Amino acid sequence: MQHNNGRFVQLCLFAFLFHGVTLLLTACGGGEHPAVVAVETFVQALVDKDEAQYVSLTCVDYELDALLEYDAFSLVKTHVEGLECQTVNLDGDKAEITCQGEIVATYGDEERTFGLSERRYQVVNQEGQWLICGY
Amino acid sequence: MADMRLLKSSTHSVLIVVAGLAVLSILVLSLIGYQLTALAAQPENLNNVVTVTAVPDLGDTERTGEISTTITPTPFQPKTPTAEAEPNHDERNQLRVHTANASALEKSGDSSALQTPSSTVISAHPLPPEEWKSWPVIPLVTENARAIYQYGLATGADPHAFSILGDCQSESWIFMGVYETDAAVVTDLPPELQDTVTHFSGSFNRRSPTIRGGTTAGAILWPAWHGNAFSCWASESPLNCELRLHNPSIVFINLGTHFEIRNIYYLRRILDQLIERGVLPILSTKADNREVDEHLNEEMALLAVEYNIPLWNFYAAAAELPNNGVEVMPSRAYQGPIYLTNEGLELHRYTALQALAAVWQAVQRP
Repeated sequence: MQHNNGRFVQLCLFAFLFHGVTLLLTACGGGEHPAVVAVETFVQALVDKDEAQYVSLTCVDYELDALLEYDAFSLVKTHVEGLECQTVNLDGDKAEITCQGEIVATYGDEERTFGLSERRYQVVNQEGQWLICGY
Repeated sequence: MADMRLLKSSTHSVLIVVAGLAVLSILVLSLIGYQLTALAAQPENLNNVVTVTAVPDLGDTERTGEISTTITPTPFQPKTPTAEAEPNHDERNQLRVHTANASALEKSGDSSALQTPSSTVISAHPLPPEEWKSWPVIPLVTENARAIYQYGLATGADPHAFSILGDCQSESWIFMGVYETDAAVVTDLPPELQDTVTHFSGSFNRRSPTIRGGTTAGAILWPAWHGNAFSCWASESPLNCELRLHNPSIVFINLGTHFEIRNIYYLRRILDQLIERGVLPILSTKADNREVDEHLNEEMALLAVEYNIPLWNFYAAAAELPNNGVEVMPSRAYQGPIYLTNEGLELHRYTALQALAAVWQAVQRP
């Protein structure tokens, strides 16, 4: 009887710990899917003119197009307002991410905005890293 | 008794565990529900989404941004350029004398004294790119340039239309718009320049998706840059939009006034698109040296040789003006001396008109 109860308690503790670890890992993600984090970091790198970070989050096949957008902003000051992204489709190693917010580009007294809501970022998990492959 | 205590203690532990599991399960289910909610939020209309397709793999060199500056054959040219002729001493001296005379006239402040030189068609640029400072202000027109222009006319380009790709210093109100808005200015022009103004009427004073403050060579190719203004389609670049709307036969390229490392790569893409459609590009040099080593102007000369097309060497015209005709704009001091002075602006528009006249006269000859 004592032996059986002890085994039962051990099993329950194992299950409890398993659940706890799973929950802890989920919580460490800050509630956002890594693909969402990748897109938000990508957009932030674009407006911060952080080319190394920007390129590091880009698929090889998309790099030239991504750099075209990056270079289009090279003469204007940029920042992003209201950036908030979410997963709209998740299929294994592929995700589609949409965002709210806009890129604000300033040249002298002229201010222009480039909305992000029309974009559907194509994000792919390549060897554990979520990369932006187009939109 | 001991068994009873153990049983009671075990039961107590199990209850705690079960309660914990219940709380955790609720949390996990909440997370799953969050994901399902996100999936349900997927927009119904997928056709409104802007899609950028991946470009063909152009090789590791270009992917890493290490753009080659060597002269290579272009994929398409209506007429194969002849081999670059090595200029002899007389030709080199002649070009230098021409440049010096032009500078002296400009220094005198009487820009109307500048006459458009008679246009002749040559096989290739006589001077190498590294001697770009000695290239003439008014473009030398090559046989290849004429072939591009004639090909364009044959395929429907408008012989009365030219376009400009440029930044704020190409805006119509400070560049050539005055030739359509001020009759007195036109009246003071030499006859051949008045003819040019008349012939290209409608192109000098217009807003365009390819002219805007802060425009780079990359921006001209990036569809979102036009912001869907000017009746541009969301999927087309400002360049393609301008070609569709205005259908020019000649295009000024006043881009590359900064030092983005991929500038020459984008310029090649622009030139390829223009030439493929039979639109004759006129490259230009700038008066400032923001990049310190003047490599942007040399790249323009490099491209002029590579594509065998005209180069309007504004640098040579501005060289004799105080501070090369550029100054710092107080509100944009961080940009340095890149803005043309009033004298520089006047010379800019006048030599541009001369360049247009010279190219137009040369390319239309059979």
